[in-house]
Amino acid sequence: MDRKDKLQEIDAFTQEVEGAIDSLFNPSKKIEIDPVTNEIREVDTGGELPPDLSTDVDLQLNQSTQPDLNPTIEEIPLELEPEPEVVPHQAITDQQIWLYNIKEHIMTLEWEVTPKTIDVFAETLKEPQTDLPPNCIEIAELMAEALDVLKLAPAHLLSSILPALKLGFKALDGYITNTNAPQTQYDIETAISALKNVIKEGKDTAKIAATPPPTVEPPKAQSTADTANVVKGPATPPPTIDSQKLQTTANVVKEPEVTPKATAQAQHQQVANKKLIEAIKAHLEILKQISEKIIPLEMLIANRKGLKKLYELLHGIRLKLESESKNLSGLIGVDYTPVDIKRSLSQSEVTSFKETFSSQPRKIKAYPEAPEELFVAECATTKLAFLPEEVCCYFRTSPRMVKKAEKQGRFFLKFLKKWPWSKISKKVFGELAKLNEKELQTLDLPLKNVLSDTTSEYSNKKWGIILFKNNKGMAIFVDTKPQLVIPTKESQYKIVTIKN
Amino acid sequence: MALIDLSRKEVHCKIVYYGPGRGGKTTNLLYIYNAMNHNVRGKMLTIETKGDRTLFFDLLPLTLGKINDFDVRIQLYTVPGQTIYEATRKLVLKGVDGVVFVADSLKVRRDKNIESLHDLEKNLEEYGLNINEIPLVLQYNKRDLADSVIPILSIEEMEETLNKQLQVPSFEAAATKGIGVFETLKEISKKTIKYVAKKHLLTDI
Repeated sequence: MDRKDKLQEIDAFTQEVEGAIDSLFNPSKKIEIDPVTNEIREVDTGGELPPDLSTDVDLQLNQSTQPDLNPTIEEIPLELEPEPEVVPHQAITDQQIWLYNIKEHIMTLEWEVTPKTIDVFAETLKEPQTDLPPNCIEIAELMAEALDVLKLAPAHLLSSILPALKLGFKALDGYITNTNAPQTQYDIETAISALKNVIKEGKDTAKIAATPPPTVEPPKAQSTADTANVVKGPATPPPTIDSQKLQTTANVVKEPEVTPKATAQAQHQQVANKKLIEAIKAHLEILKQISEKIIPLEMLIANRKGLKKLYELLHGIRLKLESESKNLSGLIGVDYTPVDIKRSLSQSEVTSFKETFSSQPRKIKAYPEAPEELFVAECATTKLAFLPEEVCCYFRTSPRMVKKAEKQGRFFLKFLKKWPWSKISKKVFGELAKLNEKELQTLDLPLKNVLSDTTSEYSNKKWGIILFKNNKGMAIFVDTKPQLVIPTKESQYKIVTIKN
Repeated sequence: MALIDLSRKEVHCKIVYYGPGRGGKTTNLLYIYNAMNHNVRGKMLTIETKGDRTLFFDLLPLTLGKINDFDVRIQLYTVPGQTIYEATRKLVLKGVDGVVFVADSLKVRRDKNIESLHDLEKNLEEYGLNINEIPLVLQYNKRDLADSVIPILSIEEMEETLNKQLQVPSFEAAATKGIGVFETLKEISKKTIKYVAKKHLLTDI
């Protein structure tokens, strides 16, 4: 199809689309939107659509695309509050405009604070208002001064200065609306007081925010001549600490002058830092207590049917909490003390925990020095437990994966994922995580059956575990996902050694 | 960017309502959503802050149905107008096919209008688009305040400030009352479809 035909086709298509637009893109009802609350209300026009705005301007544009504007005469209500009553002895129109602009600026400050918006606001406030009484002029001046202070540290000061500005606006608005009301006088006094306070506090806050930490230079020798005197001069004893007097003779090095103000600021900074660290340590302690409270509940639901996802969620939350506590401890330079699991369990509020857990597992013996945690998975009718430091990976199996491994009697990590290999590193932990990509790729593990010598019953196994320690490892297939549990004293298990 | 799938016979276009904060962009979409027949418009997605300011964007999908076997849809977006949300505005502008610039007629917002228009030009350039070539209409909103004591710019001033070089169609509007809203929408929709059809369908030759 040549270009001309194509163009004609496109033109025809666009004309049809334009027709559809003209017919479909029309309002089916007349509504109005409240500009403040965005509330929608229907307007009854007796079936007529809203009139177009009147205009006398001849727009120098492509007229064919312009809609027809029929002149209308219509009273349109203001978006603002109702107009105040006109007080005959004052010209309030200009004041109304001025007030409206102030309100706009305050609303702008509520969502956007930039030097430009502050400057424009301040300019509005500084516009002369000759008909206002002195206290209202004072309010405007104070508001302008507050804005100057706000510019010093907008992020710190907005939350305190903005309410004071609103009070100022309220006072001005009240005066213009109703001069002699007692409330207005009260508002004016309140506004003046509030503005003065925030200006004073704001200046102090801005100073603290802007003050850099003082630096004290190391002591310097005065001159070579003086140092020569130190060498050659008579041996004078060094000043004692008790004397605390600076010797100003030529053969003694003067200490640099440290102003009392700088020293006070440095001390203030040190005290503040200490308090901050103490506060953070207190919070870290609370986080640790939260972890300790989670552990018993976590253990309670660890082996419950139907609660595996909840267990994983809770376990993940606790590990994340502990990891962040550790990071925070490192940042403030304090040692991190891990959660004491035994203490957590002994102080547990979960009263049924021990009774529930002690019922599982049943048929194994307890050995002395039982490990604190074990990975437990089911295999056939037996529960298998593994030492956490030896479990380096567990994964869902697929029939194909199991068949391949069974056939070879070996397991390779590439059974998990062939490419990209970088994703394998996220699945392994413990000693395996220390190996690089090449080592992981070439890792060759024997496939072992814990319960019998044959590997013939692997076909239904849904999960796989890789054990790896001291550069030796093996792969095992089990029925359930391994869960980390804490054995109680009543737990019974027997140790099985698998030769590798 | 417009999606034109010839195999599935779909034409999807993206129109963004741009402009300074509190100029009436979201009000335009709200009006269209509430006043239009529900067969033509889909659900409006809007994520607002506590102060009813657009935080990310508003989205209103419109459908024109089957035209020449093509399923034609137009998606209307708005952007947050505040200066600090520049990154979000840029993100929402990605793939734009047509723009409605909603200017605020208040005198105190004059500089904001200019700043926002420059911002639009700059963001379009970063996507390799030219503000003089992309479908664009101007909407001068809040014209209903002309009869109040609140100072607003005249149409000549708005044209001089914003449209002197662009010379694109402009519409007076009062979005809270629906005045000029559908006229703006129709114009930008037609321009966008025409532009998209010529640009994408013609290149297939």
